[in-house]
Amino acid sequence: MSNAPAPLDNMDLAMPTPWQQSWSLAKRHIGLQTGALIVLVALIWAVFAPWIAPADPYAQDLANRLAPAVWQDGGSWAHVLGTDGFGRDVFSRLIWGTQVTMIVGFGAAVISGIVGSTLGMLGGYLGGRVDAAVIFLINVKLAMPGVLIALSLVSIFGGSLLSITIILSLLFWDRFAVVTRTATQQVRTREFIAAAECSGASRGWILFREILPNIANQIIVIGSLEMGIAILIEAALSFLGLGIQPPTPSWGILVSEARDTMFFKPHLIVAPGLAICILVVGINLLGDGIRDITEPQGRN
Amino acid sequence: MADTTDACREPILSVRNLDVTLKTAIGELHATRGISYDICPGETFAIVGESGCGKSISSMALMGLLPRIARARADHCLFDGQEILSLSRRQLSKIRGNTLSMIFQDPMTSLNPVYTIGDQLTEVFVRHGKGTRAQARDRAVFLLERVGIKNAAERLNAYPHQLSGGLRQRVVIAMAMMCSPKLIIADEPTTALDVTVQMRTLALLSELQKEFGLAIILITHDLGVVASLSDRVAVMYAGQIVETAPTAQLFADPTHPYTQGLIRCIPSYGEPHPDAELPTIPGMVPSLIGRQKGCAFRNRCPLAFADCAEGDTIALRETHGEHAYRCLRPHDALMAHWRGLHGEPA
Amino acid sequence: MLDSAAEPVLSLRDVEVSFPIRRGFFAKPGRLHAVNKVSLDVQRGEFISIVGESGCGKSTLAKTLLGLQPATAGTIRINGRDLADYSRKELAHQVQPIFQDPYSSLNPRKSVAANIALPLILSESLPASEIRDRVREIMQMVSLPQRFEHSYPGQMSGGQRQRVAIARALITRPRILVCDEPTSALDVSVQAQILNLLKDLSRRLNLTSIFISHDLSVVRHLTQRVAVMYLGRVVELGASEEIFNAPRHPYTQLLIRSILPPDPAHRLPPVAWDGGGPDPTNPPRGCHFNPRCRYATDLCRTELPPLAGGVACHAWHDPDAWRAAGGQIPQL
Repeated sequence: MSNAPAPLDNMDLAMPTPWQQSWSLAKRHIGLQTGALIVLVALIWAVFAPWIAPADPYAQDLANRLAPAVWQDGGSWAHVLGTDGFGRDVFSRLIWGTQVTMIVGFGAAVISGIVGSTLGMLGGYLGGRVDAAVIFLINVKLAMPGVLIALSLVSIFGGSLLSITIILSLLFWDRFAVVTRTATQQVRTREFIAAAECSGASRGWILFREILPNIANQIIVIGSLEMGIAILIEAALSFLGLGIQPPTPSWGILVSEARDTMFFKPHLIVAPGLAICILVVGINLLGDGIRDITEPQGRN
Repeated sequence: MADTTDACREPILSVRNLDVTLKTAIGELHATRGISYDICPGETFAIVGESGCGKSISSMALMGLLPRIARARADHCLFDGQEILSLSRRQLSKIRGNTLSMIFQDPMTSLNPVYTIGDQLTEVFVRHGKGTRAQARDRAVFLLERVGIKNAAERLNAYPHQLSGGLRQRVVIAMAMMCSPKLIIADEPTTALDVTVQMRTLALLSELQKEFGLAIILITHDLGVVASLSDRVAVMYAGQIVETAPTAQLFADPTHPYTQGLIRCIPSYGEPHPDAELPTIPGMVPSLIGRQKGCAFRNRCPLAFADCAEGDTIALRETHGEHAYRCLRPHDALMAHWRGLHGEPA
Repeated sequence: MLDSAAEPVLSLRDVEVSFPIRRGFFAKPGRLHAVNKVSLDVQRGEFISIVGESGCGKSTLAKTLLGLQPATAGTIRINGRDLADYSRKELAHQVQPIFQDPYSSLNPRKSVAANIALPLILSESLPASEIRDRVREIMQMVSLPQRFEHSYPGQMSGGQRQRVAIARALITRPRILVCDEPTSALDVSVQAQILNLLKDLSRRLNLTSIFISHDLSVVRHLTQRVAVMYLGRVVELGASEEIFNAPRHPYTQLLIRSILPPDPAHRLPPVAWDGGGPDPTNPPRGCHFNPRCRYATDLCRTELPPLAGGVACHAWHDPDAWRAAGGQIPQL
């Protein structure tokens, strides 16, 4: 009678690895998928602009100014969104503008992310005077009228792609610092940090090999948020004529150039405006999605 | 299948076939399956089991405190004659803290750090319309003195962080008593306390219960706590009650192989042998995700055989008195095994 | 072997660890003596327990032994060499920790193998294949199936995680293991497995183990010697058997009475509240335990009894004089 029972087939390792779990969550996360799709399309436009764009974004055709879009009377597929006041193909300018927009947004998010996260992690892990210095810097940053300073810096250093990116990243590092500092303080008290210290780990190892992987998802979420804001501010600066200089096709410049024709050619202002809006929403959806699928492990 | 033992004619709480399921990323988790019990007025009913066995979540379901991903279903859950699973949030809040109170494990998190303990004690009383603020204050002082806090009137103005852990848990107990509840659910009430404080807190609970005729559901992982305080016990494993009995009987004749193993692996059980190994239960708790079949304990059970894997579940069998267990083996065989573990002739 | 029988692996002399504290904004800053004049010798292969309630300084002492918290006074010697003279990496080969909470002591973003290999990776430059072999060897030693190698801590049960933590602690083959409440976060049935494993390993590897716990019943099964701590001081030190069968210090007696056996016939003592744990920032004058002690006399309220003959209690230092003065000898 005492033959062995059928084993419980769901015994151990029924739990998926963190990667498997994130993946299975991602497969059902519509917001994440939408965001990822939008960002992917924008990336493809940005990288492959020379091949995708049907026309040269700088080529003027003064004979064919303000040509109608394809759905309007007299529109043609040669100029899907018509042409602007200089006869340039608006669709091509929009695609090339993605490049500028993505470089500024991504560049500003990465630079400010590196600066802010490093400061935040150092303050959160080392504490004491380092932390006091970090808090001081954050407070100074918060007390400064950021956009005003950005405006004046742009007017001093000019509106090249590089200077805009760097100036924008100076605006955003504080949020990275605040969040990573708090997150680091929480991770620091976990016992695996003490265990690493007992194994002879250096501070650098603990910061980058033990703490960073545990707060990386939070950094990515802030990064997406800041990237969206950077894109908006770049557009605003360009719109005001303080950002990227014409004729470089940036979405902000497209909006600005379409101002004069706003009432009889509204699509010229709607198209870049909508592009900015969709991309920013997409980036935020992606960031939120990443946060949702990488919730801390180990809550069985 | 009548999965219960009728302990008294008018139970204060009667639970029949309570199922709690949680929706997780990897499937449906059966936190409890077919939990049934009756609590009589004035008795202490202990629910004992290891982490993840469903002992806490079953009472969270009763209090309406389940997380969002959880669903509770039952044939009935009657508290004081009222079906509580179907109550609205507002109706529940009239019962909670009033006739049904809860004591949580961590006294620091169950008290709000920004209010004085006096504010928190009187607030419950006034909110449930038991009387005026002055009456509430009198009752708070009376109860704080009753739970052994000196200078109770002064202590009303203290903030939670000014008290030690043991004192804080006494304040929590006094708070649970403010509206003269009929039933207190105590979830690991002494686990966060020091050993010397734990004993006194348990003694206090036991005294209060006798004095006020309370019923207590004591949720714990510690068989020592069960032995010292409870009248009846239910042992839970993997979401099911595997054995239920009056406390004395459970410790005298533990019948289910899991109960036997659990009692034996307590370090303070029996005489210590500095060189001998502690008895253990090998293996680990199965995953509760997906459909459950047969006996959940079979992979750790020394007495398992092929039939243990059959069927949806093993029925709860009664032996004598109010003693019931969920195992296919006959009572004699199980008791012989228990005696065998102690080197007595089977 | 350089270790002679006489030389202890670990030797503490008057070790003190204190922290500056401020009671109020305007109050004079004071010092909290978490560990106060602790002296202890531990022989090679010995399994010694340090027992006490929260705030008694046992965890601070553990941190100090691990080099995580410097001692403010006194000396700690490991193999006859001062702890402060060891570099972090040398110390990692001497002392390793096992912490209380296996849910917090493993990095959730690293695989089991990476968690276990950490001390090895940091302190020795070995080829990857050798590291993998050492990890497998140690996993086998703690009875972790090899298929867990690439899993993550979040996929494992508490008991399995604690095995991972033990494997990580042993991979550099240290001489001393400091276990800070290694089973208090585990279920009873798993706790017994881990205790058996620790005991078995320390015997097989001739480890010196310092086992920190609040639970006397766990300690009883495990250790040869017990030190009972109260408010930063060792109040009783002796062989396990003596401590359990004939505890002398009233605090040890209280701890033993507080064990709840799984026996319904055992009655709870009366409730009388003794004020509970004292304020460690403001310890009472004389013997720190005197406000909670029913044997306390005026002597206890004024003079701090030193640890002598294994116990820090006036009643036992000179029982005849104590009785003559009308004192009672503490009984369990």
